[in-house]
Amino acid sequence: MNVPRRAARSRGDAPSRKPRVAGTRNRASAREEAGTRENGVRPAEGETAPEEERDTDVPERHRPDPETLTDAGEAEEAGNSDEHGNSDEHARGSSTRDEEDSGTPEAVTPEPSEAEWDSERAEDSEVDAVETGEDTAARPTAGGSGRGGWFAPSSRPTTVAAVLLVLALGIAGLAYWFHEEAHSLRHEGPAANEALVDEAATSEVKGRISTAVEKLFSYDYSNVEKTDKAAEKFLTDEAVEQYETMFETVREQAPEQKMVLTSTVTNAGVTLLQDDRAEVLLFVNQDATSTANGKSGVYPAQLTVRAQKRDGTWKITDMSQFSG
Amino acid sequence: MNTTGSPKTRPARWWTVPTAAALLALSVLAAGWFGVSWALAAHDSSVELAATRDRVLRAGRQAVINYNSIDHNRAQRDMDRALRGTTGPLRDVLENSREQRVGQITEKKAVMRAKVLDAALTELNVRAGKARMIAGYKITRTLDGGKPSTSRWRVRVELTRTDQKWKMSRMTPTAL
Repeated sequence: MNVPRRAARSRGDAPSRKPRVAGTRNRASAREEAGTRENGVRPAEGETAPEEERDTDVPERHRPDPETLTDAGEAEEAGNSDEHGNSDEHARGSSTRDEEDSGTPEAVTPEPSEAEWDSERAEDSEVDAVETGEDTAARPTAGGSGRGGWFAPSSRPTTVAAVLLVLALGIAGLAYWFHEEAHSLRHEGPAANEALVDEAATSEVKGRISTAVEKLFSYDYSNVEKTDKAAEKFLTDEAVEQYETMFETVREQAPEQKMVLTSTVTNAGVTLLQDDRAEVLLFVNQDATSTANGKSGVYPAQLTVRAQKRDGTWKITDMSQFSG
Repeated sequence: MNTTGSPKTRPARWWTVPTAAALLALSVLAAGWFGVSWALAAHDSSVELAATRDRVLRAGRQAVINYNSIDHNRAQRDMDRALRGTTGPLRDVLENSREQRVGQITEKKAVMRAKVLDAALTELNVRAGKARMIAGYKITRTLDGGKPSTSRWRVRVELTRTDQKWKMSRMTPTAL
């Protein structure tokens, strides 16, 4: 009794089911083509050729194939009603088949291909956020029903991405603002000026400029070279001419009066220290003694000096007696 | 069918979520980093010291101007203003000589305007509330609406912090 039934099944049932099962499987891989639903239209044809044809179609599903298009058109009407019945039948059929035909090679062969199909579908369907309702409806019966939740809302990944992107942009803007605020605090406004803040650099500039001013404005009629050397060493740019103008009368009168001029910086304050630029205010006392007539006096002065660090040394670039 | 147009763009869209998430994570990291940087800068002692230095210098300059700018038409008010910029020994000196000074100015119908030419802090001790400033200034004086005369001065000033304000506690002017 058993044997004839099996024989009858394997002879009559199996071939007729095979294309259908394969077709269902195929529908999955060629899911986009609604045309795969032809398994309801031609249930028992049992030819392998159309299957292969469709299989080859799969990678090119985006190409509008006239044949598949007509197929799809057919399926559109017949497919919908078929859909559930078919897959249900497929589910039932495969389950019974699994029980009954577990030993037969014929029944076993579809299994790997089904697994194959499943994985293929998994790849596909994740991308297929936008799909027709029929397809998504068919999916739970055909494949993993758990995945349905993730893909069901048609544009969810896009929405999530958009929300994330907007958030990212907003926070990036915030980060930029933080950066600008921090930068301006550190490098603009009062903080840009390191006078008195950088104590070592401040006292270095103060000492260097004070020494330069004392040497520049000291003059001995018997050693003019000393002052000339100082001018060469400490002055540059506009300061060269400014110094000439300031010191002109001293140079003219000093020799005949046998004048000795000694300048002392009594106070100095750095008003600006930024990178290689500095500005220093100095109080200078000029002690002038004329050995010719024995007259002497102390003359207070105030000097504003701008300097630049060039090749590691501070040079006076600009100076004036009464600035502002 | 109706979805045939989009498959090519699908893989690109698939990456949008992780990419956007990565961008979000990056921006959060950046915001955290710069937020901390800002907080540090706001409480940076150097930044604070630089701001204090400028504030003290401004206060010192204004105190010098107020001390030396008296208009006989509003001598008492100008004296009050001059006093507000002083503290300690200098305030005592000014208060004691106030009536005498006001009398002279009123009698001569003098208008004195001071202008600071340049000023610099030579010392700043925030903790002790002491600072030293040097300044060069000029005073333009007009007697009874006559011809204005200008004199130049340089001054060494000691500033003391009182009630969160920096005021002149000593000054030593020298005529130039």
